[in-house]
Amino acid sequence: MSGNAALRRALIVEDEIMVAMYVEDLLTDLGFEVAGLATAFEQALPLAREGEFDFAVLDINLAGRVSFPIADVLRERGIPFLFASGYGSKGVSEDYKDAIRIQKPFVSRDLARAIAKIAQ
Amino acid sequence: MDLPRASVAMLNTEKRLQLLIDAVTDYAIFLLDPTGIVVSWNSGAQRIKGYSEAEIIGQHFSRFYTPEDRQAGLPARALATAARESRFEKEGWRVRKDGSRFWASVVIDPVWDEAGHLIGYAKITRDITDKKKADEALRLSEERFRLLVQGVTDYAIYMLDPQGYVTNWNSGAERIKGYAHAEIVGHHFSRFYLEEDRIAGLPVKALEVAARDGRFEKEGWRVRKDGSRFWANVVIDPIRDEQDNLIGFAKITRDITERKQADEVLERVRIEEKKHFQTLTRTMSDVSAELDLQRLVQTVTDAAVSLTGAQFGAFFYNVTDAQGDALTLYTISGVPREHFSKFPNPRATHVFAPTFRGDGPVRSDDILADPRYGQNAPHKGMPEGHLPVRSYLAVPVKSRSGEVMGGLFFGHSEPGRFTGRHEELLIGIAGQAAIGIDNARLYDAAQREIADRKAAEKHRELLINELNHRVKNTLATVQSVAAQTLRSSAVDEGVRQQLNARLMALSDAHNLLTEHNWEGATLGRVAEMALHPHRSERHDRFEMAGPEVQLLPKTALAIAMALHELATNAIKYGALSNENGRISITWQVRNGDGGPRLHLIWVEQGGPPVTPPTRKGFGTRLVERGLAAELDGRVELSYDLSGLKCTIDAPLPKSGVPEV
Repeated sequence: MSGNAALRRALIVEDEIMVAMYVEDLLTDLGFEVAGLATAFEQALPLAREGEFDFAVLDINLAGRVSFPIADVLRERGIPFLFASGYGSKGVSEDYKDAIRIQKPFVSRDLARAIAKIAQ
Repeated sequence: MDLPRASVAMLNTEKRLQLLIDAVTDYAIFLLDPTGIVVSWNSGAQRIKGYSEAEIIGQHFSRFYTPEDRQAGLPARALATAARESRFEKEGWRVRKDGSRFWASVVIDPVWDEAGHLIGYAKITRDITDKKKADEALRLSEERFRLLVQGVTDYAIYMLDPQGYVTNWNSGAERIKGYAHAEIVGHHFSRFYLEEDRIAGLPVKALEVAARDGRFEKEGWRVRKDGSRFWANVVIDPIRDEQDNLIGFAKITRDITERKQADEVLERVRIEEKKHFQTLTRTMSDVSAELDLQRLVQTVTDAAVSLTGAQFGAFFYNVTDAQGDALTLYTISGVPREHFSKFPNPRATHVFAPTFRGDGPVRSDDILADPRYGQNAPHKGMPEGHLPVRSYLAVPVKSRSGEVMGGLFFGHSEPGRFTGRHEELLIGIAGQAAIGIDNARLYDAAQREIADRKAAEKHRELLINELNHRVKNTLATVQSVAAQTLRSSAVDEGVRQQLNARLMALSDAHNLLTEHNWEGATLGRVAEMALHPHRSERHDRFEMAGPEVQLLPKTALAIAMALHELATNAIKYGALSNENGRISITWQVRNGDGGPRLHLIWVEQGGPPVTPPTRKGFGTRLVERGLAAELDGRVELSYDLSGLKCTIDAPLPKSGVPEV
């Protein structure tokens, strides 16, 4: 179980490399450590299963595949996560309707607030 | 006048009597001498017999008789009878002078002298031809009436004595009740009643009612001699004598069993018609409420089988499937579907073609004997294993436009089962079916249209969502590129924030439009959204007012960006740069010649004194030029000393003005 304020290491799952780098910069600037970065579904799933990190920032659409199976794994492992997606609320499956979500494009403040929420 | 000499002395004293006799014209009164010679004559005799006194005096009275009576010696016998019996009285034919005959009442009295010698005869003759005719007529009439009553065979006409015993009997009574005259006269009429009616005292009551009311009439069961029953109409009339004493009853009985049976048949027909009508009405309401084609045609087929009394019926109807291919389906009523499923659909044979062509109904008492039957290869009639059909009835089902939608076919294994009435009923049903099918088709088409439209809408929504996703990803990428670029160069942090804020404003406006499927947004929502980042902490320093105005997506984006720039400027230099400044945003819609126009005013107050900028930055240009161009309107920035003022005047699409 991840501790409350103990979120430190982050996993980034984002298929758009430019955006992934932006998120990486924002997290680093906010004082987090980027423990892993996956730009494809196949790459992300084993990381989600076995990677050592405290929380994850998940894009929803990974080159046409939804990232909900990855979220399922995280949920199973009890690792908090948030979605960062270009989709509005209509793009989220029923299972993750209540998950913390920020919409692209976002700024540092939006990301910080969302991480604070999943840390609770 | 000359009188017989022997009587002169005597009659002289009776002068007045002579005058009286002569004055009588209704009676011929004259005297004969003992041999029958006429010796006196009065005016009545002249009138009745036609002879004048001069002509007849001295003639023998036998000339008044008919030749045959004279031949028979009647005149002499009459005188002999009168002399012997002192009176002769008889009716008979007599002859006038002109030869014509009359019916006469004749009285001959002998006349004696004082010594008792016969001196002649007094003869009084009356013409009673009219009376005889009247008597004869009455007799004939009574005879005819008797014959009539006797000859009537359709009515039992007979009489009862006051106690109800039969006193006479006509041939109708014999025919209807079966008793001969001799068998029944003297018996009580209660034997014609059913035993239970006899026990209930009905016969006595009937006579009581007839005697009291003057008439009794009723229908009921009666019994014949052989014990069989018939339904009778009975009328009993009392018969009274001149002193009003009841002397009996006339009874007329009619056998109306057939009429009663006819009435019952009529009643059955009436009930059947009522049932038909109910079936028709129910079918009509069922059919009009039924929009499912399959259920509709089943309802119609069932109703038609029930109405025609067919053993089985089928409704072959044409449909167009989802691929647009025409095919013929059918429903069955009366027998399981297996009876038909092994056969192909009926072809346009001589029997079926008139129905499928929509020519009209085909009805046959025996289809096997119909010239149209058995003409077509390969089966030359019904295929092996077909249900046995003798009676056949079929009608086409045609739409209002004349299109043949299908046909209703009915069969019965016995010949002669379908009537013209059944045909009429079936035509009615076919009409209802056509309307029902039309409705169902319209409904189907409407449903398909709705489903298509829903699918299209869903598709559009998906597309918009997908598009938005891409736009957002692109904006995120731009943001990332800009951030990376600016990170590596020594750019002021404020510039970075300004860039980010503008990207976010653009993104927010996109969000708002996506929420509404890119159909537009209201000005109120656009303003709220654009000012939200700045307003949240300075809520009391904004004032917004205006009617609901629907904006096109393009206009909404342009105004959102302009408001963002104005707010950013106000925070840096204007009303929001100190603690007291306020901003008022108001708008209204004015209807002009060229259609509705939007007037929006942004007014800042209470900020530091304003001076026009020396160089127009991106924000100013975006508002003044970009917005004006986007809106196809005018945008004016005035740098009043009290605060910045921005007025926007732009045309609105006509549909953009909500009706109030």
